[in-house]
This record gives sequence, structure tokens and C-alpha cells, in this order.
Amino acid sequence: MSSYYLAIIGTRDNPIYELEFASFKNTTILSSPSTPNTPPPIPGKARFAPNVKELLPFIANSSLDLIEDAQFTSNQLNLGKIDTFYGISINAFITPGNIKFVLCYDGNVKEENSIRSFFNEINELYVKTLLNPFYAVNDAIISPEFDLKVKQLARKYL
Amino acid sequence: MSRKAVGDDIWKNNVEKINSELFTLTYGSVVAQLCRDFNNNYHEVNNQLDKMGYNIGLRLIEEFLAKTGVRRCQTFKETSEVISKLGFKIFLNIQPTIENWSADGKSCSLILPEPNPLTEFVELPITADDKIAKELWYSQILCGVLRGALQMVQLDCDVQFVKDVLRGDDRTELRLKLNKILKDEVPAGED
Amino acid sequence: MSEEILDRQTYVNSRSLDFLLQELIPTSIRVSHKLMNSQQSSVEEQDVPTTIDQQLSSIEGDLPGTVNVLDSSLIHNDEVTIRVENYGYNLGVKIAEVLLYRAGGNKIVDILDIMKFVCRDVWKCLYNKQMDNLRTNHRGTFVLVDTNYKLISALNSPHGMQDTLSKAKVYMWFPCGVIRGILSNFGIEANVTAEITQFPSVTFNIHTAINN
Repeated sequence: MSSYYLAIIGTRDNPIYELEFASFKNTTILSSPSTPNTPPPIPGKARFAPNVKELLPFIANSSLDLIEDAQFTSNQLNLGKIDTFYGISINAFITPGNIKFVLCYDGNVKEENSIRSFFNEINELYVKTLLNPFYAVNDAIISPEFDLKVKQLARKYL
Repeated sequence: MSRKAVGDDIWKNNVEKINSELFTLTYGSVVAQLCRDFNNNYHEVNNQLDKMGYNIGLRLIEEFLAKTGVRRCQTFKETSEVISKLGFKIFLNIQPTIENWSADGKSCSLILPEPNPLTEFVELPITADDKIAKELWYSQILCGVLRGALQMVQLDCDVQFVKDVLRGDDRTELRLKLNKILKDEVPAGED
Repeated sequence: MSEEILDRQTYVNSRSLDFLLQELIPTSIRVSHKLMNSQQSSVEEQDVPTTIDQQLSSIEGDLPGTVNVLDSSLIHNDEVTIRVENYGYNLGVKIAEVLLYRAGGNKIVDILDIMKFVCRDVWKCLYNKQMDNLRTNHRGTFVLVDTNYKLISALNSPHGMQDTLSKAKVYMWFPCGVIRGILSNFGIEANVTAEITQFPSVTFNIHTAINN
């Protein structure tokens, strides 16, 4: 079961939105005698190891350099997988307005297509947020509706 | 032809159209800027929107009458029908419903469909004191437009919002009230 | 908010936008006037509906249905023009995102392509026609020409052409702001000014720091 960390980063490298979640699929509990103290996985709740969890914002941030480079080699908005870091894979998407979506996730080979679809829908959500006259580019996104929709999209695609 | 059919027909064949986002974003830009200008004094913002709308209403009515050829309405009920089936349809491509008539037939509610071209994509910012949700009537310009337009056909009316989906209400509702019918004379300000 | 809202195109009467844009300049003047005289005007505590016989501001002759507000000397005040430009700027930033999103496809990176985007897609969206001419010196300066600019072509002052031109100049700040907002969305800082070369033909001068 994969855990994910989504960060939306503004044009000044400032985080505008963050969410940790886990795949809602495959939530069968595997009991393992070697780790009797591990709590059972909760569907949707990310299970990054604590030391990794702390690093996630930094990982997202440091991938920005790679994104800057990648954006000039490709004119696609979806940059695909741009890096790995100790088992954490990093996918990125950059909007025409230079806003970056960064998805960090652990483990298994992920279908690029589902991440691509996920990013496309996040992009649509983001554009709708931008259309709100009370929202300016680079503002933090605090709307509970946005949060809910991201979670729904995560459930749908990941 | 029913009023609705007339409205639909004019919209389809006799109106130059633009993307509604353009309109939505322009209006949004104005409201947001007014809020910043007046430092979140939302009554002031409502008033400026109302003034804008009033001026627009004074001009818009001429175009409306020319395009639709409607004659003088016999009752206020007719007037409200014309407003919803023709007026809103031709200018904003929406059709509000009319409800809640008072016993004397002089006031009613106009329920705006959501989303509509003024409010699409809009979310009022969430603040600690919730002042904006309590004081701002985002679409106040409509009140001004209606009041101004009706003034020019000799109807002195009150138009105000009583509910707004943006404020968290279940629907967006305007209350229309006829105060009096004015004598036929050229209003002040016209040359 | 419906899920497919951005995929379905809705429309309004172009006259609705025209009316709204026409009111921007008087509103800017009134707002600037009010803010500049804040000691004299009272702080609004309630909603006051507009009526036909009450002044809209303390500017002389500013009654509903009149255009006397445009005669106020404030019309050429920086506060007013900055405000008008700002309405345009905010619109430009957002309309660029929508148009790009709807156009789908890939990023536009080249500055010339961006200018073509403004001339073709943006102008078409705003005015149902494309810009008539685009020139560049390939060193960051662009000149865009619209030979029949819709926003001002209907303006006609009873005081004569000079006055029409003088007032039209203020209206031109709005599209300047729109263009500046669009470029800003692409990360380009630009200086946008307009001149009315031969009414109703207008020229937009855009200076960027980009060398192409």
C-alpha cells in the first residue's frame, strides 16, 4: 500500500498546499509476526516512517531544482518521474503559471498514467481556485472544499 | 409566443455572446479590488456596487425595450415575469424563478440559479470574524441594475438581497417590492 | 461547484460586459475621490440603496444617469489610472490561466508565441476579433495594433473629439493592465502603454526585459 505526499509549490518556492495520504486501494491487512507492534494500516492514512515523514517537505523542495531543469527539456506540463530518494519516488507537474505539483511516494512501480490523470485533475482544481476573485497567485489554499476534492481525487486515481 | 420562448429566441438569434468567464472574472476583479480599497468595509463595497448597477440599469433598459419590444406591463406580476424570463435571459442567460408573492401582489422573491455568471467559482474568504459573510452582498450590482431599470419605466421599487449561497445560505434570493408608480415625467438627469 | 464546470462553455450577452466595463472608470473616480477625502466623508455603517435624485459621490454634478463624473479633474489622476489598470491586471492574470487550460496542449515558452497568444486567443476572447498587427524589434519591445478598438470606438463626447480622446485615454489603461497581467502569468515583467494613434485605431507598446 503506497503512501503519498502531495505538495503544491508557488512561484516563489513557497508551499501553498500540502497533503499526506495513502492509497485507498488494497487495504488488506497483512499480519506479520516480525513486526507485532506495527498498527494495522488505516485506509487513506499515510504510513511514512517518522524519519522520512519529516523529510518530505525538504524532499519536495529540493526537487524544485530538478523541476526547473526538466521544464526546459520538455514542453509537457506533466514531467513524470523526476527523481528518487532512498526509495521515495518523486513525480512533478508544472502549470503554465509556473506552479508546481510535487508527489512523493514510496515503493512500488506506479502507473505513470494514473499519476498523470491525478495531476491533470489537480490542475483543473487549481485553475478553479485561481478563478476565485478573492484568491491571488501564491496565496495558501485553505479552502476545505479544495482539500475534500483532492482527497476524492486521490481515492479515485491512486 | 410565450415570454419564455421569446426570451430563448432572442438569446439564440439576436444576441452577441462572449465567454461567461470573462464577465465573471471582470466582476470578481472589481469586487475584490473594492474590498481592498475600502479596507474590508463591506457596506461601502455594497454601496459602490449598487451605484454601478444603478447607472447600468438606467442605460440597459433602453436596449432591453428596443430588443424585446415589450409594452407597458399591466401588473407588477407581469413586470416580474418580464424581468425573469426576458431580462435575465437576454443579458445573463439565466432564468430566475419567482416565488413568495405578498398578498397585495406588490412584492415577491426572485431566486437566482446557482451557479450564475456573477458568482461562478467565487468563494468568500474564510476569516476569523466572518465579517465578509455577514456584510458583503457579492452580487449587489444586480439590485442597482434592477432598481435603475425599473425607475426608468416609472416604477419605484426596493430591491435587496435576503439570502446568498456565497454566504452559506441554501439559495440566492432577492426581494422585489413595488413602492409606487411614478407619474409620467422625464426623470432628473436625462437631457 | 460541478466537476465538469470548466469543460462546459457558458455565455453571457457581450453587452453585459460592455456595460460593466463602461462603469469601471466612473467607479474608479468615485472610489479614488472617496479615499482621498476620507476625513470629510462618513464611514458607511449600512447599505444605502441608490436613488435617482441622490448624488453618487460628492463630485460636482455626479447624479445617476449623468456622465459629469468623467468631467472631474480626477480622471487624469494617477490614483484613478492605477486603479483602472489594476482591474485590468487582475483580469489578465486569471483569464490567461483559463484560456491556457481550455486550450490544453503544452506550455508556451517563446516570447513571440506568447505575444501571438495575446493577439489571437486573448483578443478573440475579449473582443471577438484578433489584433490587427504585431511588430517587434526582437529586443524585447512589441507593438500591437488594433485598428478598431471596441472599448473606445463607441465613445463620443458632446464636447468634441479632443475631449473624447482625452477621456478615451483613461479607458485604455484597462486593456494595458490586461496585457500586463497576462504576461505576468507567464513570468514576464512588462511595461504596457497605449496610444490612440488614429481614433479608433490604438497601439499598445510593450517593453519587456527579454531579448528574443
